Amino acid sequence: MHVIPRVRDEPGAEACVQKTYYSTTTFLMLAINRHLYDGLHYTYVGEGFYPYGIGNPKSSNPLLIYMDLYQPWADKDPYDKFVLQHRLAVRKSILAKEKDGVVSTRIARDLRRVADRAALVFFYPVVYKLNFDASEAHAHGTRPGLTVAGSGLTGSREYLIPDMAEHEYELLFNDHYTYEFDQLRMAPGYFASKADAVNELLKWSP
Amino acid sequence: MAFVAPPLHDFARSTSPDDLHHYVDGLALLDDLLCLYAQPPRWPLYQPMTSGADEAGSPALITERFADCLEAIRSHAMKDCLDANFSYALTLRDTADASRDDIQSFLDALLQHYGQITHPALYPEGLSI
Repeated sequence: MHVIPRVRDEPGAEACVQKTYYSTTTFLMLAINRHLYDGLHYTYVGEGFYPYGIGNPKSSNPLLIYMDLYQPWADKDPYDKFVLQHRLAVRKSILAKEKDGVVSTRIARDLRRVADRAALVFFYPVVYKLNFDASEAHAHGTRPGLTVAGSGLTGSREYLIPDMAEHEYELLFNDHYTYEFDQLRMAPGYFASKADAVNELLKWSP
Repeated sequence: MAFVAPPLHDFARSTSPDDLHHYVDGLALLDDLLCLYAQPPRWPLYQPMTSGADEAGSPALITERFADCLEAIRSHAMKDCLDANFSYALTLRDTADASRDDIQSFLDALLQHYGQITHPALYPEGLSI
């Protein structure tokens, strides 16, 4: 059970404000995490959606990442460097999950095609809003696996959660309704098998 | 030295569909090896469960998986280019502080190359059955 710190407002006590952590990804990565990676999300989270003036570099700034992904999605630019970088990021996740045995070699092979060829519509950005204070959880050791990583190692407010579960976040900006997303928008467990899930993604990966 | 790539017609003429997948896996691992030194920096993402976050992007972790990719590739051109790029990437990493511009150029060229070889005109059909 994860402890969610509360704001303390006892008279005379120093106020403890819960910090909120966010992470931007794409609908593609969200769908893969939900339907192929057992509903677990490998996620770097930064404090605040727009951590302005607190030392987070661009790569730890959920708003700037959102903008970097939204623009090529809106402009339908398949050769945008952020789209290509994200495709390689999906590739890296496949390598790790195949090694871990989360996906079979056959499923991983199909996912590679998805990473390279998924339609641009799937790069619609969405945002995870963590429903607990990562800094508090780290300080008290209440969330196993949560580590200081990325720019957090050099003083910014960023943590890595290698296995964020469905109940640990709220999904924001998941508001692009298109038929390609219909089944993939469902919760983990919707598809009868990972083969069915990857076949649904392959339909949109010409 | 700079990022080296096989001619694009090598990919169009490839008789081994899996060669492309192993090759692109190699590109992804090259990116993970150097992305921490990119401008702006990006965080390595290849992290199997058996590895800690501090190992992500490390030469030891990348080399192990990269060797598997290289061994699986049948095309000599793809194999040789990937191997040369890996040696160069390790050198860049060892001198990262003095090689930021070269690292960025390498990563930019890698990304452009990835975009070219995954173009529908070159991408193999029927990889999934």
